[in-house]
Amino acid sequence: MFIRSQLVSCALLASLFLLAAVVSSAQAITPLCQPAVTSPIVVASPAQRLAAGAKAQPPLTDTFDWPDTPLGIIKTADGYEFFGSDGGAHYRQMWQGHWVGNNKSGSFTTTVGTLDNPLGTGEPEDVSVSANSDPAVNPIYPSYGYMGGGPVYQVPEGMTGAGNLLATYHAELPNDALYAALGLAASADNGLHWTDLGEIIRLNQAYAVGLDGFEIGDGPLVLSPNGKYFYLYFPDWIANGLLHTTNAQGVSTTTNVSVARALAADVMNAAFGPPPHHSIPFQKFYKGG
Amino acid sequence: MSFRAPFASLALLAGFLQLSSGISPAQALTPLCNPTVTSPIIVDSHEQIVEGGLRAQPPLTNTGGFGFGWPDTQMSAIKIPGGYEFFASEAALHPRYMWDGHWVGNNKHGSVVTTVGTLDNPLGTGDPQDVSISPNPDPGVDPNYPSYGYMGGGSIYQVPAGMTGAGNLVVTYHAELPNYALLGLAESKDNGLHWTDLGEVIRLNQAYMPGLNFAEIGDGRLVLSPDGKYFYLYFPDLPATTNTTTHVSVARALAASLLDAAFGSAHPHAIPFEKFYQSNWHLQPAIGGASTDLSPNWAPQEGGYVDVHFNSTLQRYVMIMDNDTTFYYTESVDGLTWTSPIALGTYADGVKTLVPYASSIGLGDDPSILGKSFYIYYTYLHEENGGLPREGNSLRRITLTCP
Repeated sequence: MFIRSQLVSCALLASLFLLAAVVSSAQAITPLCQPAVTSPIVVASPAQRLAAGAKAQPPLTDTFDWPDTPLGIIKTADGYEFFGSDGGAHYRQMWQGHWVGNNKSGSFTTTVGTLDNPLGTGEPEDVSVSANSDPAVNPIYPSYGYMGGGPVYQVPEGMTGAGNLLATYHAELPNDALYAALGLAASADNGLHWTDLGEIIRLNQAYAVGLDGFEIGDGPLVLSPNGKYFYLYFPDWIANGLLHTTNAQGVSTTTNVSVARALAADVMNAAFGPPPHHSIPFQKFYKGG
Repeated sequence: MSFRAPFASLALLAGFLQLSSGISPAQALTPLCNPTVTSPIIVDSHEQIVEGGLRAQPPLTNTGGFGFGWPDTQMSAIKIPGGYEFFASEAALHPRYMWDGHWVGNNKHGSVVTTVGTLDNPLGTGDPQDVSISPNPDPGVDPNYPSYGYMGGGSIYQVPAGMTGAGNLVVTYHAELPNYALLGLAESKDNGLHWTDLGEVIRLNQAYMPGLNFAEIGDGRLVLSPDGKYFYLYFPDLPATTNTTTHVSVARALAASLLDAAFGSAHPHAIPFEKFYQSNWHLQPAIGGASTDLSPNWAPQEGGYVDVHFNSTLQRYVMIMDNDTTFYYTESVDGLTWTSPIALGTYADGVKTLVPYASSIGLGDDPSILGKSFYIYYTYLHEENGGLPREGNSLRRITLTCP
């Protein structure tokens, strides 16, 4: 997702770490877990990534910038499938008799590996998100300069599209800074093809040229406590009349974390039921309702 | 729709009269028509409206003090053998109750009222069908439905032959959250006897929040684009954190895809509209996105309710704007660049009287298409909320002619 700024940028980090100035309720709940963490280890080295990029299918048309989003993981009989975006550009090319690539940075890259080696030894499937067959599903698709993701939801048995994959993608509009939206894509062949289902979340601050960069991330679909809804968490930027994430008083108008939801069964019916496949409206949680 | 603010509101007018701040292309286009208008006539008097309410089906119950508040949005018409069907919202509360063996009402203000009449008497002598918009069977289509306090409309598109849902109706509805209006679509497959919500299509750039001053979004109609591929829907937008609406903004969606989604799917729904922004249709979603003011250089008062139709004589689009007191006329070839507005007349004082919801109706076989002469209907309100149920209201009409 960081296609414009190398080294991820202090500005970007700053936007993620800013304190929110919007609603604030007392946090009465206490954690059950007091987490302890180990020191980091390398599970995919630069050399491994370079080697994997050389094997990627379809062949790369740019560098292999993997993983460029949070990862999604599915356990298989032999190990794990990992899903993450490759931040390189994916130019349209003829490959094995059909067109691949979408002239955008980002992708859904599937690798088969282990928890100690997510890249594995096979060929990464580096797949661009295809436009929906009905252009009305996402009229903004042509404008994205980046489109990719990793967090995957595998539809469980008994639901429409059982076994298929639903993924959150991170899409970026053209700008001199980062303006991103979240959308959904679907795969009915275990990640060999991904089809756009349309946008589901935008920042409260509308797109405009000259905005501060702001990262919306690429969160996963999470089932609500009652199992009826998909929750999707993201940092929001509340419009403040300026092009900046801080208002005229210098106070941030970004949230630490916001959440939107949609009925899970309806999302899957729309995604995998009769065509044209599409997403459904997500609603942001606002003022207790 | 203006039932919240006494005297429909200086606040409302203020919303319409403020200067806008969008981009500004030079206005080189000149009008082909130099319109003349007749003096207003009353086509449905207050007494006729009251009597129409007594005949309404389902019967009115507790109207919330509004009586039969018709018409409360822009209206439209379809020609039928022997006359016309007219469609408009009705401002009364529509409590849910059992009628004729089934549940009616949705506990909201507003509706889609169908009347059968003539151009000289849209209410006619029959029973107005005063139908509340039902929720979509799939609550995922419009999760906000339960929150609307108002939901009604009158701007109808009848699906033409050869398209999915031919003969069926799509209405643009005006829905309200507290002090906040938005636009959605509903469909009817039985000529207006039942209406089903298809979901929201346009929200202001300013998001809903408590404490906002009410900004009117109107109840515009679906208009086919010059190439016939898209539905255009015009509205005044409110940029976030401002009190300044655009004079007119526009959003669009593919017409065939919309009709497929509304009538060709087991799960009827609307599709995403996109706001026109910085000469681009592919950047801003119509739900909350930013929009460009198509005519940023117009005078502050030249805006309000916007009613756009194609005029077959001029081979141009014609827009009538209504700022609650004064009507304006403007033309466009492409639906995006408009001629400078021409004032048609002032029909209310804006304090004790208001004239919202100007709606053009053509005199040919398709009333949605205008010609050399056409009618402009509007609601005349007298001291709203000072004298509910709308004492002195009437439906009035002027005739516009291009000499």
